[in-house]
Amino acid sequence: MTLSGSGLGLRRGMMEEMKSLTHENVDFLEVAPENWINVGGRLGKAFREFTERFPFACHGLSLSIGSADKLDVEFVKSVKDFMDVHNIETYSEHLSYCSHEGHMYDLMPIPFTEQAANYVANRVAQVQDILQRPLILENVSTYASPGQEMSELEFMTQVLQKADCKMLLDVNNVYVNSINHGFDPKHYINSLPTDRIEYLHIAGHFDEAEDLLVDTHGASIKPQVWDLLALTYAKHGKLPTLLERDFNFPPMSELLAEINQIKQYQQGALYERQLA
Amino acid sequence: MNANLPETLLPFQKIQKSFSDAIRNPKSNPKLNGIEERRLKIYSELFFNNVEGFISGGFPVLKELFSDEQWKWLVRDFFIKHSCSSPYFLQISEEFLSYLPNSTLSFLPEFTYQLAHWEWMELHADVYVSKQEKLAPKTLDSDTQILSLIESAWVQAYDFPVHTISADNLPEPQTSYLMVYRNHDLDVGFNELNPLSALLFESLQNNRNQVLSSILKDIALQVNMDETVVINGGQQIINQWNELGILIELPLSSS
Repeated sequence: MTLSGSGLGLRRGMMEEMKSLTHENVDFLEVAPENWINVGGRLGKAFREFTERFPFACHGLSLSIGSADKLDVEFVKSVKDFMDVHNIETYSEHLSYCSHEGHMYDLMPIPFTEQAANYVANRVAQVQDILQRPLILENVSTYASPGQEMSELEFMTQVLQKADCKMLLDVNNVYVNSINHGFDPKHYINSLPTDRIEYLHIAGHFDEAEDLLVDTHGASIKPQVWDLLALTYAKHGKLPTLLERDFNFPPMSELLAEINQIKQYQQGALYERQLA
Repeated sequence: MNANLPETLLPFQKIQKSFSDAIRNPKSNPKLNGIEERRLKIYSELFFNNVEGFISGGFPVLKELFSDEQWKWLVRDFFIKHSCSSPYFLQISEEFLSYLPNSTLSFLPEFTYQLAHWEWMELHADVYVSKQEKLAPKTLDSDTQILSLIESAWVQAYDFPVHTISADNLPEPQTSYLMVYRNHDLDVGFNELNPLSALLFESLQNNRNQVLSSILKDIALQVNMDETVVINGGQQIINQWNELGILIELPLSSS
């Protein structure tokens, strides 16, 4: 099933509150398969109840597409089985790596080099072969740029082209990186190839310093990021958009207010495009 | 050399190696070419706090036994020395468990691994994926029914009473048979067994075609105890396990 409208990330810490969600509130949900594969018992049962009620996207964490470690083929097969069982078609991952001589469970910045872009493209093909589904790569937030030989935008664009794959555009990450690395976020968004963008992420971040933001997913969305979302819709169309919140969970009403704001922006974008 | 890595690293992979080394072990790798220290610090802190969060969540009793400094030292040592092969976040606890027997930290008490194993069992029982769902018996009859145990029930003999450990209660060695289970209602619980009930557990778990009274007679023979005592005691245990919701009834045709 293709995604549409607005969605919310399913988190264990919010599961009880999320049980009352209806299709009026959200169109789709998203999970990290790594948190639900091989999970039975009460958690597995509760999860199953969600996948029976809502369309889902998988947003992976451990694929480590840019890692020097061997691609974990068994793991990718497990992801495929998981998606088959729960009838999920969309699988996105991070243009990043989270392992080197073993898993480290968080995201590191791939050196932006042409060799790395080629390397990633090869691995994307391997993954797509196993999954029998397209792989969608997300731009990640970074706090350093080790070994950088080109801009993030060039690297992202090269990978999309070489791997012939889709993109998950995280609007908050564009903003965070624009501050952390000093580039123009509007130029970044406007330069992306529209036909590659599959869906969007939006979230809050934490201001570590004036020139250093941390992508925590633990706060409400900042005004500058809302502006970039509006820009994205105007430039690339009314794309499905998912709100991520990983901790500091507010009352559900607060998250629903943010989702309603996404819906309003989407309707506005539709209106503007009809006028154009 | 790690079997997961290619023999020679590409130039960008060498950068990845030094970057990941610096995150794992910031003290030994304090500086990286062209990267501000405060930026590297964000990475090393995010990574460490993430892993520490999973381990604190999985081993709250163990954590309580150490000072903050010792605890961070332990988690950091794990993060530096243990290569995690699991892509699954809930298995970080299992990775930590497999690191512990190799740990050379001198402040770890003798029972550390066993306590950690005990704490891990609770998570294991909670998320265990059952291969087959079987029904609980409606009534109990020790002469006609073939009873067995739900597959999500485990007994482990520990060398310490790990279930009683807290910062105020450090254990003396003492063999303890502890059962962890997830019952038909998917609730997780534990029970301390005596040697007799541990034996009954084992017999029931492997049972395919014996009725309870015959199992208990075999146990009486095996431990050289009075048959009536074993049967009466055994039936009480069975009633209790049935209330816990961990018994299953096998169809007679399987005999």
